[in-house]
Amino acid sequence: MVLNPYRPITKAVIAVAGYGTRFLPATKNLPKEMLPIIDKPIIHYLVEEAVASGITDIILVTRAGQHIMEDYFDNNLELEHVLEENGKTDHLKIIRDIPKMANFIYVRQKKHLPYGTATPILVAQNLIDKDEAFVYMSGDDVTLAKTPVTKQLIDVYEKYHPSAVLAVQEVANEDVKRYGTVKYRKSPLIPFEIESGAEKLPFGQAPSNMAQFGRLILTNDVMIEAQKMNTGKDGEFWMIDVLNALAQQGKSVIAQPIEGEWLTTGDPLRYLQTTFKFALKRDDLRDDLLAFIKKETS
Amino acid sequence: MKQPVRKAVVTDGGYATRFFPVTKTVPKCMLPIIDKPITQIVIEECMEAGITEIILVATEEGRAIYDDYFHNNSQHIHEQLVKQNKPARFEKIRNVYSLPNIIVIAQNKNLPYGTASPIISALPYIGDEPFLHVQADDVIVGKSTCKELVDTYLASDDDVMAIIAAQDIPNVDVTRYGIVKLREGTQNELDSIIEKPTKEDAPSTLVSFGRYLYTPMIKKYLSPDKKTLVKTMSCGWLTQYGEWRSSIKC
Repeated sequence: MVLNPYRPITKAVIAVAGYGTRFLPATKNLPKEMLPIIDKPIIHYLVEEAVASGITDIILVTRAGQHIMEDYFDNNLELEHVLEENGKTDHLKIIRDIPKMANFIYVRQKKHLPYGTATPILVAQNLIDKDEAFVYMSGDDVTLAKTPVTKQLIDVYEKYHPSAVLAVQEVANEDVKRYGTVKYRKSPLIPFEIESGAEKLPFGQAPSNMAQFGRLILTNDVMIEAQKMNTGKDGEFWMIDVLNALAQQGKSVIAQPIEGEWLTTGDPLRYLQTTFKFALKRDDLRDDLLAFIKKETS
Repeated sequence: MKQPVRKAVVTDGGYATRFFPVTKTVPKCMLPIIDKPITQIVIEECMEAGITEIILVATEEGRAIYDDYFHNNSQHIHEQLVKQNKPARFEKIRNVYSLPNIIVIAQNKNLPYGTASPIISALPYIGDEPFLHVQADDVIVGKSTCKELVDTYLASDDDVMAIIAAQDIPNVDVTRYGIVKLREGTQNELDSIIEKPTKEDAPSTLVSFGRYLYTPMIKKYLSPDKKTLVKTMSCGWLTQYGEWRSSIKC
């Protein structure tokens, strides 16, 4: 038997330190990731995806004013007591199961660091060993897939052990400017290796229509590059720029097209669309909701 | 001369198990409609009725969250928006400040479960004056129901003790709501509210919802000692004394 020299991936860093100002005033004191998709906070879906992919440690990179999220993943004894008194055993189980999902670790994003999608990994670096890869998720993005998207990425990582794996999905021409996009190497050693990546370029200037979203597997190579804190567009510190730098150095960075669907909650319209898609997947809501929309729009 | 209506008791005191698990830590009416908490939408409706003081009744944990929402000046967000050169977005937070005086209290835990309990909890903050009771989980689209209740009150007879809002919904599923029965021979006087009747037993298609106006005359029916009354009757204690106003089109 050959020993696998690589440690299994057990940690996920989830970036939840954003301000969600497109959702003001609701996000005045509610972290954006605590907004519900129907009846479950966005962050809950992310944790479920991570756990279903074998993750046991969830590292949430937060900021001041987000204790509601920490309380959510903790026990709420007062509420448990009320439910117990009223014999609501099903509801009791729902809320008691939440703290058991994973080991939750919170670390605050520091103000002196640049703002951007790459910053949270610097915040979490002391919680990750140099010889382990980890999952990095952004609190904006949710997915619908048979095999959890994070699991798909872990599988790719374990096959090739690149410096990084990022999830990508093809987007329409008019949406290209909203995202980081990638250019594939012409004759790669490994499938879907990228030559470059760039943040928020308009269609025509962007490398392709393959847009990166908030699911990645990262290694110490990425940490080392991120130390440089090279900021890019709008003075922000972008993950795609870090990955671009690695690819330019000849390191292997895989942009894996995913099976399933990536949905974002970054602005009110897409948040509503995502909520709608999730509702259509629910037997208790689908038919009544469709009938309602038909009536309201006829 | 009628006293002006200056105060509203806004209630979000339940545990909202139908929205579990998100309501494990987020009070139900802090959930947004798109980007604004339901409670704020409801308070804005109260403002249209000339209300200048809100007594918001929440659960103990909800109290802290609401207090923070309505009273914290969120300088950390301001700082961030200035940094990102989007200071205009802070206006939406400033609007929260321009809301009327809001006192957030926790519902008295010693009271039984029921719609009258939050009102009893709020009584110490209400003097000898009429007030609105607004259940935050009902939202109005269009004209402020609170304003309609206040206008109806100002034009009503002196012996009217309470006014409740109702909406005539011809094909309503009566088994889900409180259905209004009118006093025989009257157009707008309440006889009783039948909670979730069967289709056969429903006295009308007038649906009662979470907007009420009470005069000080009702206080004697709201004693915390009358626990059974509060528990079993919810707003049934109104039924012999209230005036039901004409149906409201939303």
